[in-house]
Amino acid sequence: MLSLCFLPARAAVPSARLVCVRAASGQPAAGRTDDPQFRPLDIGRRREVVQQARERRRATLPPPRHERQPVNQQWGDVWPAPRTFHPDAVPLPLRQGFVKRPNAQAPPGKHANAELMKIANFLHLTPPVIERQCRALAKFCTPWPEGLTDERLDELRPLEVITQDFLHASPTLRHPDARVVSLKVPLSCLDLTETDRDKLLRLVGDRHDPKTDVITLTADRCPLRRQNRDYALYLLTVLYFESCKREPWEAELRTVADAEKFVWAGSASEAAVAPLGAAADVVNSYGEAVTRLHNEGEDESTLAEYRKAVVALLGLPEHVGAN
Amino acid sequence: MSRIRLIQLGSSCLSKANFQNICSSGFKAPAARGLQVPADPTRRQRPDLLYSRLELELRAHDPAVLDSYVTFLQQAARHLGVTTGKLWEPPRHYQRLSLLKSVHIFAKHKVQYEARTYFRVLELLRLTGSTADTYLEYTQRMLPEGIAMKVSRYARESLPEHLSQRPDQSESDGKS
Repeated sequence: MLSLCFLPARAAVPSARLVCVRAASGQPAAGRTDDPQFRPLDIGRRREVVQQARERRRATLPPPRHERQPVNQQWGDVWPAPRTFHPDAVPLPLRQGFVKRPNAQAPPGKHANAELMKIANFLHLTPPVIERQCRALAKFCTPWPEGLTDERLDELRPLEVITQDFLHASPTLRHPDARVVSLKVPLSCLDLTETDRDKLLRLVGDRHDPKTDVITLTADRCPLRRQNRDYALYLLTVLYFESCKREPWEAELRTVADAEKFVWAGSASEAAVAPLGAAADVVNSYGEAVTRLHNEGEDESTLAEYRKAVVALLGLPEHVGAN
Repeated sequence: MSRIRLIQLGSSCLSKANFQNICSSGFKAPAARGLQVPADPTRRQRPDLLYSRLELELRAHDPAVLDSYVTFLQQAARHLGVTTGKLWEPPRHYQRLSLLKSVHIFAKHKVQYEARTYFRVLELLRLTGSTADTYLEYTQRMLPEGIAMKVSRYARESLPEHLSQRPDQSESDGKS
């Protein structure tokens, strides 16, 4: 009995949602006439009303700036400094972004495009602007001296000082390599005898490049660049002065066995050849052949030269032992 | 009452001389305080340095921005009369990290990060110190975000005087 009472009541009362849908369709409710006493209840936002309001709001806004810009404007005045991309200020139909089907979809447009706003734009550095700015800066530049060729520069300024500067975004201004100073010195610019040069090369070790004959001194032990530069120059001074010095014990230390290269003058080979009493030029050519053999190693050419010199020295016939 | 009297005394008694005497220990010229003072044109200026070359190494996260910036560098060099040498691209470097997603356990679940670095090196030849400073200041002010620059300066200097002759020769010259 109770359930029968409730069922018809639920069916009889129309729900609020039902009323709303009928009203949004814009037509009077089924079964209702335009009765002035009973207006249809309108709870929701009708789509047409909302759209009309939006259009009215858009009409009152001015057109975007790029539609009002003259064609012959100075772009450098419109975009004078680096700035985040603003779509209404740029009169270009730009598109940027990823699409899943590039053959079917166009990339997103410039309005509300986060990718376009994130990336650094170079709109403030168009070629005419660069030219204008460089023209203004040209007065602070000085020309390279006329007639200063690379060879002349090597003569006048043989020393090369290498330093590094860094520019990057970081919590700190400092860079540990900014204080490092390298000094490149060609040995040809220093006044050195053979023994001086030998001593210098021993002191310097692998800082010397045999191909270019340049010494590289790198200083990074001081905290400031200026101090490292002074230290490098001091090091060069010390090396040069030490290599020019002669210690009393150096003469005793260097025996024939210590020499890197064979020297004909005063050698046992010269002493052995002297009693033969050959002509001076023959002895000299033999000396050169022996020197080459020792210093450059055994080679077809060195051995041939030695053979020729020996044959001349001993006065043997040319074809002896020739195979 | 006493406070008002002090102010009156200050305004009447504190002449310029008194002020300087009182503050002489703390008063310093602007230059001594580390402020920039316009250079006096009558002072002797240091001679211009000479650079045989300048190497600009650029590192960036975005290759398109790097390309645009290098184009700007080349145009600026052309307009300022700077000779450009080589331009080459060292191989890019991708740093990849695979880290655990969770603070504790779940080692099967990782998260991967990647940092991409692109390089470009531009060589400028035969510059004076003024030109180099002007060019570098201009281009460094225009450096976009995401790019870092390293400038290697190869300055050419003459040999110091004390190294131009042998020490024994200079000693004998000095003595004579």
